[in-house]
Parts: sequence; C-alpha cells; structure tokens
Amino acid sequence: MNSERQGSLSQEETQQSERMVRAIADGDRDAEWDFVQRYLRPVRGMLVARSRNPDLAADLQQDVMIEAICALRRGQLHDPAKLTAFVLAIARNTLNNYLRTSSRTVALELPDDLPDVNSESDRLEEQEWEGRALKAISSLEPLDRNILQLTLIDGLKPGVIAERLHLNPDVVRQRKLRATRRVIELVQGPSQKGISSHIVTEGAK
Amino acid sequence: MSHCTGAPAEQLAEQYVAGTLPDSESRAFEEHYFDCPVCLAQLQALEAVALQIHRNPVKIPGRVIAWPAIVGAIGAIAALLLIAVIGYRDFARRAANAKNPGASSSPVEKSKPSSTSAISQLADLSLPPFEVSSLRGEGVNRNFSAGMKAYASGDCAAAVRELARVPAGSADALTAQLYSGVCQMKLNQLAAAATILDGVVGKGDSPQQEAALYYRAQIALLRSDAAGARHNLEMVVSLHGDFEERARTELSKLPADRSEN
Repeated sequence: MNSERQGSLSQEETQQSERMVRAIADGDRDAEWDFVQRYLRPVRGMLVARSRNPDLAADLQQDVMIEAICALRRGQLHDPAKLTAFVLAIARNTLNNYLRTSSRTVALELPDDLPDVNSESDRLEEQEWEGRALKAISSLEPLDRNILQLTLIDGLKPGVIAERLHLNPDVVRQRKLRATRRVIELVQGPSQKGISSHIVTEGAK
Repeated sequence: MSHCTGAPAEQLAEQYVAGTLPDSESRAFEEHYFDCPVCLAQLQALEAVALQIHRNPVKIPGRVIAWPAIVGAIGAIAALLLIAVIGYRDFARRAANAKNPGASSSPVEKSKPSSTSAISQLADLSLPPFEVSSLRGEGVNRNFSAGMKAYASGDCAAAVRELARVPAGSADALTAQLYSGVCQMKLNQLAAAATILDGVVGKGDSPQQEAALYYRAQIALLRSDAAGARHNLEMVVSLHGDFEERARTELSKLPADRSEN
C-alpha cells in the first residue's frame, strides 16, 4: 500500500488543506462547509466500520465534525499539512471514548453557527446506496450470498467458510472475490462504473 | 489528483469491514482512504452491502449443495444400517454388563472439536441474568434503569441505546458497560462488543471483571479464535468466581493448544 499512498495526496491537495485550515481559523464559514464536504464521508466510513452500527456512526460523526471545526476555529492545528491525521485522531478518540464509557461526549456549549453536517441530500443519497446494496445482494446466487455473509458479518476466513459449507477453500476464495467485485460495482452505480471496472482490472493483474 | 487505482481497498476493505483487520493495518488503511476517493468509494459500497446483509441475513445451512435424490436415498439406507449396527452393539454391551456387573464401562470421552468452525459452536450466548428488582432506589440512574429493564425483557437493541446514555462517572457506569458489551455480542456486533468488554477488563479488579472476561472469551470463540478464548477463560478460572465452572468446561472442550489458522 505504500507505493499507492505516496501518490494519494498531491502537493496541490496539501496546499488546499493549508488554505482551508487558515481560512477556518480566520472565520471563513465557506471553508468550514468545504471541510465538512471533504471529511464527512471518510469519517462516517471509519465510524461505521469500527462500530458496525450505522445509527451510532451517524450520531458520532456529528460530534467529530463539531469538535474538529471548533478546534480549527481556535487555531489548534499548528501544522495544516497534518489535517487528515488531525481529523482521524479526533474520530478515533470520539469512538474510543464512546466505547469505553458507553456514552457520548457532548460539548457543553455549542457554537450556534456550525454548518449542518446531516443535510437532507446526504440522507437521500444514503438511502439510495442502501437500496442499491439491497438489490445487489438480492442479485447474488444463494451460495455467494452465504459466503459474503460469513465473511463480512461473521468475520470468518475462507478456510473456515469452506469447512462449514463443505466446499473447497479455493472455490470459496474465487466466489468471494467475484461476488465482492460484483456487489461493489452494483452499489457504486453508473457514475462510478469507470472507477470500479478500473479497480477490477488492476486487482486482476 | 489521486493516483491510487483502488488496490488498497481491494486488498483490505473486506477484512476492515468485517472487523478482522489488525489494528495497525486498519490505521494505515484509514490514513490512506481519508485522502483517496477511489478507495473510500469502494469501502462505502462494501459497508452498504454489509449493512444490508446484516439487516437481511439468510439462514446458512451446513451443506448448500443440493444432493441428487439417489445420493439422498443411499444416505438414508446407510443411516438406517448405522443405527442398526449401533443398536446391536449397545444391546450386546448391555447384555455383557448384565452378565458381568463388576466390569466398568469404557469412560466417556469429552468430544473436542477438531475444526475451527466447531470452536465457534462452543460459544455460550446466554445472557447473564439481571433482576430488575435489584436496582437500587432513588440513586439509580434513569437510563441505567430503563436499559436494564429492556435487557431483562430481552430487548438488546433498546438496552444498548439506554445504557449508552449512562454518564461515564456514575456508579452504574461499569455495570452499564458490561451489559452493553454483552448485548452487542448478542446483536452480533462482535468488534464493538470486544472493545467495550476490553474496557471493563481494563478497569482492573471490579465486580464486573470476571463476567467481562468470560464474555470476551465467548466473542473469541465466535470468531473461532481458540487461543484468545483460552487466554480469557484461563483468567476467568484464576479468579475462582461464579463463572469458573463454565470456563473450565469450555476449556476442556477446546482443542489442544496449537497455532491458529
């Protein structure tokens, strides 16, 4: 992954981050909105994956974004190039605090001019994804659906799944790979199809 | 502009979503996809799929390949023959014992699972009892009370919601954490359950420590992690508390210590 990572953040993007951090510290509300647009999805992705609870993730993503924006307004991030690491650290702390104490840490005094992190369009988009995901799993053969369930929900390895389903482990691996690629392509939809097919090609190399 | 082709997500997203990716790799993957729209899109798609599978689970049979009728018929005949042979041998053994009552019968061997999938079947998913009447009077937290009532009625989802609102510093916080972890386990949120119960264990000596270790072991069993289960069960045994006997029973059923898959 290292070679992939090296190219993942260009110099231009680093400069954008620096401009964004400075603008938020200077009170630019549009920059805050840009910040939410950039980080809301990865924060949500991380919270869903680590908590495996979408409702909790929806609550905690607000806490993360609010805490991050408040900290940026106060100018607490001294190295703007580390914006992503900064947001990630807040997200991990927020989730770990919740899991340790089973309670959310809510700021006592919330600034009243924070950007809306739970917009209606985001909710609609999320529902759309859910609908496509349901269609995608419905389109799978029962065996492939079983394999994905045992992989993604039960966290079992192909060898264990093979034993449970009385199959050859190589068959499980192949079917899992094909099914995963298929559902990802179906969920991402036509707008992402170019990216998805590119990924499959790269992965098959 | 990102130059990533999506290979990191292709390699790691599945384990990451399943909660089985080691923490160091999870962190590295997070640092990557936070700045990589290609991998983020793949991850989100997989999360959406996992969510729908979780909401619409299918019952997974032991064997999913449909056997031809002829094979089924042969199997039935073989089963009848086997029953007849076992029945005859049992009859013969009883007859021999009746003739020679002093002879001891062969000791019953405890069956030990030889496969990792059988390990998960050892997991004890029964919820620890909690009497609602045992809640203290006026001092008890309102959310804790509501959470434990939901728990006592078997509504784990509601229990988790209410127990999450119990203030961290309150007298009931650790108990709330324990039952919240057990409920998450019951709801098959194994990663979250493990983290919550680790938090209880990490608090050290407490009335909840033993139960937390025991249910931490059950999560390891569900994940077919025999080494993790053994470690936690041995700690339960060392505490000599209410769960000692159950822990000993489970330890006796675990396969001999060897490297995991």
